[in-house]
Amino acid sequence: MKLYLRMLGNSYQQNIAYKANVLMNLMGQILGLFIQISVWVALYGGSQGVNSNIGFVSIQEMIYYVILSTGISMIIGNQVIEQMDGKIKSGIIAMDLIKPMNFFVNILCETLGNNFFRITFQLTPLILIGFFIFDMTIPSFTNMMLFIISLINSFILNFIISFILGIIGFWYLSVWHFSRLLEDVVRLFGGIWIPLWFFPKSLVVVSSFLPFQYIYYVPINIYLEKLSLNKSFEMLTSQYIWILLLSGLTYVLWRKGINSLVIQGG
Amino acid sequence: MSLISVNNLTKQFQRPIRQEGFTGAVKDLFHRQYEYKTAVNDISFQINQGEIVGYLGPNGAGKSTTIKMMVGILVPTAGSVTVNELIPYKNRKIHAKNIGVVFGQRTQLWWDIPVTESLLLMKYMYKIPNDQYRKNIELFSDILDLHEFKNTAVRQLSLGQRMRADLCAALLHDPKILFLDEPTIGLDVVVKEKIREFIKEINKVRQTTVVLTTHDMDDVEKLCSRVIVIDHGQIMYDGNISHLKDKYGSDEIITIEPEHNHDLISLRDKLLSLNVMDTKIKDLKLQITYNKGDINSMQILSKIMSESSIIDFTIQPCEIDEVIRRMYTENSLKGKLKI
Ligand SMILES: Nc1ncnc2c1ncn2[C@@H]1O[C@H](COP(=O)(O)OP(=O)(O)OP(=O)(O)O)[C@@H](O)[C@H]1O
Ligand SMILES: [Mg+2]
Repeated sequence: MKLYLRMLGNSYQQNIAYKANVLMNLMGQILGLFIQISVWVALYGGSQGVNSNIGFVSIQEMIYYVILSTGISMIIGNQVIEQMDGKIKSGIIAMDLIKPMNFFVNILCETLGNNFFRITFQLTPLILIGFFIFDMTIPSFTNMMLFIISLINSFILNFIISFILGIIGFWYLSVWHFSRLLEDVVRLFGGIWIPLWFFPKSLVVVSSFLPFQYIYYVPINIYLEKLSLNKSFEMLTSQYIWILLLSGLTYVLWRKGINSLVIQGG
Repeated sequence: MSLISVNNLTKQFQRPIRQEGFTGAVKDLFHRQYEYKTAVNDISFQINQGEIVGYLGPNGAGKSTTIKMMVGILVPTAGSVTVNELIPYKNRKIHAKNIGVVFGQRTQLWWDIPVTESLLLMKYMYKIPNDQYRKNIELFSDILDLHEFKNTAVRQLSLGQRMRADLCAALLHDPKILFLDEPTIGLDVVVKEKIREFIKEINKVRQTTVVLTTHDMDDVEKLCSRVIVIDHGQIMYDGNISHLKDKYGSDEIITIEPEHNHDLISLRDKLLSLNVMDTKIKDLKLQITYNKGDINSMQILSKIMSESSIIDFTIQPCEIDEVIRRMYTENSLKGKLKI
C-alpha cells in the first residue's frame, strides 16, 4: 500500500517537472470550452430551449453539459494507451516486468497521480469559471452523491477500456491509432460533444449496447437531474456490469498477451 | 540440483515481411507474411550457486534473448529454463524477488525522481526490512560512490552514474542470482573497475551467482570463473578460461621498434627463415605473431638483435579477446563453407 501511495505521489510530482505542459493543456481546454459554448449558443439561435428525446433542453443546461464534460475529461482522462504503446515499442516494459509488482496496478497508480495533478491544477480553474461566469448550480445532495459514485465508475471503466487497447499492443506493436479511434468512438457514443439527447433513435439504441455512454453521458445526466432515481440506479448497475465484464476480458487478454509479448531491443 | 538449469532452450522470432509500396502495404494488411529468425537454438547448460559466468558471443548471437528468458520476460519457443526451481515466466513475481537484473542499455529506476527516492520505492516493492535496507544502502553507496549524485533525478545522471545506481537497486533485496546484460557498456576505465570490484565482492561475501554478458574481455578475465560462448544461437564453448586459451590459442605477438626505419623491411625478410606465423609492419613497428609451441620469444628477439639495434619491444600474451575473436571467425568460416 505504501508502495502504491508513493508511486502515486511520484507521478504527481513528475507532473510538476513539466509545468509548462500542464499550463498549455489548460489553456487549450478552456479555449475549447468557450468555442463549444459559442457553437451551441449559435445553434440555439436565441431560443430558450429545444426539444430532444428526453424532453426540453434549455441553453443553460446545454452550457452546463459542455462544462461538465470538459471537467469530467480532466478527472477521468488517461494516457494509458500512449504509455503502454511507448513501453512496448521501446522495450522499457521489460523494466516493469522484472519487478515483483502488478503491472495493472502500476499503471493505475501513475494514472491516478496524473489525474490528481490535473484535478488540482486544471479542474480548479474550470470550476471557478463554471460557477462565476456561467452561474452553475450544484444538484441535490442525493444526486451529488450519485454523481460522484458514477464518476468513479466512469474513471474505472475508461481506464479498463484503455488498458485493454494497450494490451493489444502485445500482439500488434503499434496501438496509438487505436487510441485515436477510441477517442473518437467515446466522443461520439459517449456524448462528449453532442449529448445523446439529440441522437436519432437508431444511434441511441446502438449506444445502449456499448459501454461508452456510461463514461460521460451518465454522470452528466445525473448531475443535471435528468434521470429519475430509479433510472439512476439502473445506470449505476449497468456501469458495474460493464466494469465486471471488461475486467474479466482484461484478465484473459493479459494472460494471453504476456506470453506472446516480445520484448524489443537488446 | 543446479541453481540455473537450461535445457534445449530455443527461441524463434517472427518478423513480418513488409512488402514495398502502397499495394504492398494493402496486401500486408490482409495477408501478412512472416520470416522466422532462430535467435537461440537448442542450448543447454547448468549453473551452480556462487559461480560467475560470462555469457559471450558476437553481436546478434542470442545473448540478450537467453537472458530475457532466464529473467522471465520472454517465453521460450521450445525447451525449458528453471531458475531456483521455478519456471521464470510462469512465476514472474516470485521469481523477480529471487533475482537482480541490470540491462546496461536501460534503467529500472524512475526517470524523473531522485536516486534515493527510486531506491526507497525498491524497498517497498521488494518488502526489504529496514535494517537490511539501511545496511545495504550504506555498503553499496560506499563501494559504488553514490553519495555525490544520490539526490539527482535519474534522467540527469551520466551513463556511469546511472549504471552504478542501477546496480545498487538490483542488489538491495539480496537476490540469489544477478543477471547483468552488458553492465559495463560505454563506461570509463575507472568506473568499470569499480563495478567489477563490486560484483566480485558481492559474489564472495554473499555467494551471489552472477551471469553476465559483455563485449569487454577485461570483464571476463577479471571476473569470470567460467565462460559460455555462443554464436548463431548455439553454444560454441562452455568451460573455464585457461582451458579455452589452450584449446583455441597459444599465440603471442611481439612488437618491435627498430632504431632505424629502413631496417624494418630487411628485418621482416630475415624473420621469414624462422618458424613464425605472421609478420606485419604497422606504424613503423614490426609485429610478429608466433605460436608458443613452435618458437619462444627469446629465440625471436636474439635473432633480431643480432641483425639490428632496437629501441623498444613489447610482448603481448595471448588475450582472451583474441581467442574469442578467433573462435568467432573460425565459426563463421565454417558456416560459409557449409553453404
Ligand atoms: N524482438 C525481436 N524480433 C525479431 N528478432 C529479434 C528480436 N530481438 C532479437 N532478435 C534477433 O535475434 C538475434 C539475437 O539477438 P540478441 O539481442 O539476443 O543478440 P545479442 O547476443 O544480445 O547481441 P548483442 O551483443 O548485439 O547485444 C538477432 O539476430 C536479432 O536480430
Ligand atoms: Mg544484447
